Amino acid sequence: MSLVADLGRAELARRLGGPGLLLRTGPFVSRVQSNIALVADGIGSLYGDYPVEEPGGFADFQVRLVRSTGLRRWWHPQACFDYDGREPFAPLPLAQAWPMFEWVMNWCVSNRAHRYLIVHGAVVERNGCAIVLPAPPGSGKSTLCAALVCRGWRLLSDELTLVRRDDGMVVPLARPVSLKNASIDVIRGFAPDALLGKPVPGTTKGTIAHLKAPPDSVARFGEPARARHIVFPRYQAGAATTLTPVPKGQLFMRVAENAFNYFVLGPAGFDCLADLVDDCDGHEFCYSQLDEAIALFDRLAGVGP
Amino acid sequence: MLFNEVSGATHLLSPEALVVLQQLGATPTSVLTLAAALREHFDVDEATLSDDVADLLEQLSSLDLIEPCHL
Repeated sequence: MSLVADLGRAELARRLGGPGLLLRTGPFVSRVQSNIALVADGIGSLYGDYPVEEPGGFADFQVRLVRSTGLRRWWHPQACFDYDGREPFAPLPLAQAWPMFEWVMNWCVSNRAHRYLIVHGAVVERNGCAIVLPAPPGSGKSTLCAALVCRGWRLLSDELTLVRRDDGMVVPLARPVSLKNASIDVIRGFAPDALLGKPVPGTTKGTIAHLKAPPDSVARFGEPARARHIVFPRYQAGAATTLTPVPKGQLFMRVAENAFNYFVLGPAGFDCLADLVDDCDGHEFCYSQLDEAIALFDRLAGVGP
Repeated sequence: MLFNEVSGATHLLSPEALVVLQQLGATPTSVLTLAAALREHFDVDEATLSDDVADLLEQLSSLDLIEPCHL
């Protein structure tokens, strides 16, 4: 199986501009077509370790992200997302094509992959112990997730926790970690060697930069993990590191609120979530110091003192 | 936790509501019998028990989990 990095820039651009790049991310294959240089640049720099399937093969998702045409070709050019001939998103300024690509990839999974219970949250693993971090924007979830993967935790996902319905295992979907605003410099300072994409200012979420997923996390896309903890993180400047138990009933309801397709799945979603909550301890987690947070997560995974 | 397969709603039940629903799950049951079941499982306040049971039944009924009937 070849990787994106094996293709070389010219072949990558040829596939994106022609038949499509069949990009494997976790259990999914996306046929990506794009004539936007920023998309090719982003895939080249942040997806080099990802497998590619041969052109003409099967793809779960058909993703076309193309430059606007007509007058918009020159005047305030835009990036347009086309999914199977429909345009579920409004176009965005061309300069935001890369974050749009990441949002589109998330959208495809959260709206289509109903063979999984999909929880809006990061999930990381160490020592066979997966920890799910469901949280709303602004909670510090992605910052914490990025810090953990920069300190040896395996990234399963920054955004979409995929719970397999038949056995409750969490299936990896390791893709770049989306960092916003102040978090970008926090991670640059915390892990100077980490590879970040170019920051994109002016999006609806502010300035966004993506942290490259660790190669080991990408390579282990076929290794699901059992979740043992569900942690609701909250960054609070100057706060002590505290972990507070969440009772099982509340845990169930809070995870359900953070699931994209709980109501779509009906009784199957209820059973899957009940099994997940049975397997896990729930915690509220308040932090301000990343090193302390990582030490606590290591203890939860049975690593370290 | 309770999943209502008719409405698709999920409910986080109090221990008292769970006892009442378990009683009602088998067969229609009188308010007096439900009060006795609660008395058996919990330290109830006899002065307010009748009103508490009525409130609980009203809540469960408003969620379409139970309905009144003639015995």
